Amino acid sequence: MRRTIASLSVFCLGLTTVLGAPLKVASLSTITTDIAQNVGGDLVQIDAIVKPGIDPHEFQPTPGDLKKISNASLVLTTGKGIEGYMDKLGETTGNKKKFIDTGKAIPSLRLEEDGKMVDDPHWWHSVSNVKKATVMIRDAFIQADPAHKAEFEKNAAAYLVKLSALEKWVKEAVAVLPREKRKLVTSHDAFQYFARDYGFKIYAIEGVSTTDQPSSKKIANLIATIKAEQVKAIFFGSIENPKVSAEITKETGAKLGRELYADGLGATKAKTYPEMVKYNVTTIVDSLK
Amino acid sequence: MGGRPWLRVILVVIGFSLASYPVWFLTHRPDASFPTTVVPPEKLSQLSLKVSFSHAPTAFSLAYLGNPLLQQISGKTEYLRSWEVALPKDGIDLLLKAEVRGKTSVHVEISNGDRVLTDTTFWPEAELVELVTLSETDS
Repeated sequence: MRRTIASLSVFCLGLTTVLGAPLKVASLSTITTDIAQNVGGDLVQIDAIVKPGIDPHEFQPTPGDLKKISNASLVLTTGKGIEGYMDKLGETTGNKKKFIDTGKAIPSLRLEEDGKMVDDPHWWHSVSNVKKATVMIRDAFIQADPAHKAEFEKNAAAYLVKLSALEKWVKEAVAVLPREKRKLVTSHDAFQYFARDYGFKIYAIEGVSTTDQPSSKKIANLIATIKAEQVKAIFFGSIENPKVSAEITKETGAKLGRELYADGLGATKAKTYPEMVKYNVTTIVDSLK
Repeated sequence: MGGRPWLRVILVVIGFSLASYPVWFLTHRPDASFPTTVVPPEKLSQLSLKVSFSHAPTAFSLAYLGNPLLQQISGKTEYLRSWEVALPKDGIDLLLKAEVRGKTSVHVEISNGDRVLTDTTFWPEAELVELVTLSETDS
């Protein structure tokens, strides 16, 4: 019996060595985690540092997170300034080469924040941007583990087909909403890439980040705009307090729409990227019809 | 408290009317949330829609807000229709859907009289779903 167990252990160890351990990947966004799972499959072991329901604008890595990041071969980020701790993280963990900034694959929309122009980090609200990030992650995986190039290419191709189908679904869903009703009041300014793709106008209560607080003047102007434009619904982020949005609905007569997933995936609903997009689009279209 | 009874009745009616006017005024104001504005009627545009395929599609539709304007007819490669529509300032989206066999060119041309508003070509290999946007400034 002992011999059998010993033989099995040696066999398993040998098998692991032959097949190679999965590629260790740390992910600083629920979006990159989902893409990496689709592209990497069983060939990658992902440590999701930023989990569903956590606000990436306010997230700060713990010492435990730093350990996971140090142990990873690749670290996936969404970039464009949302990970405000990146400089410190690069210094602490040493190897900056293993950080894959997927945001670099995507042309930025520029928004005004506190009087200066900044990159809008919420690029995942455009499906075509997520396709670009998928290609970047695929290439990073191939570079880190060239032995599994064929599998990464096959997985990425299958995921890109899914994303193309999702893109078509969004076009059909949005087409039933007249363009003059495509006015989106959101708690923070996270849907500009979506607005650009599908002809929406965005009126955000807060700025690009959830940490920005609106001034009384900004709220007064927004209330006037909502009344003048006859906006039907006001939405709030899944990880935000809807109090300000609710107050504005009282002033304007617009209804409080359901929550939207602005900064990443959800823990119970919108658990995958396609689910998140379908949930958000359905919520927006149904509320504004 | 003398006086003629009919005169007293008239005075009471006038008194009640004056007292109830402020209450009526406060409860019958237009809704403050959405000020009533007179929206000028939108100008109707007479559009010519033309969609042509290099090979006949297996499925095709061009729709506006879920209502089909053009639909597939077996073996046909060119579809034409004139359509009268009020173009709002935000414009309109037409949903173009087609299924084709192999790489096919799909040409969409929308004109208003002699002026071409949209002239675009797509190259689907199997399925096509696209939004064709027309704005007021186009017309």
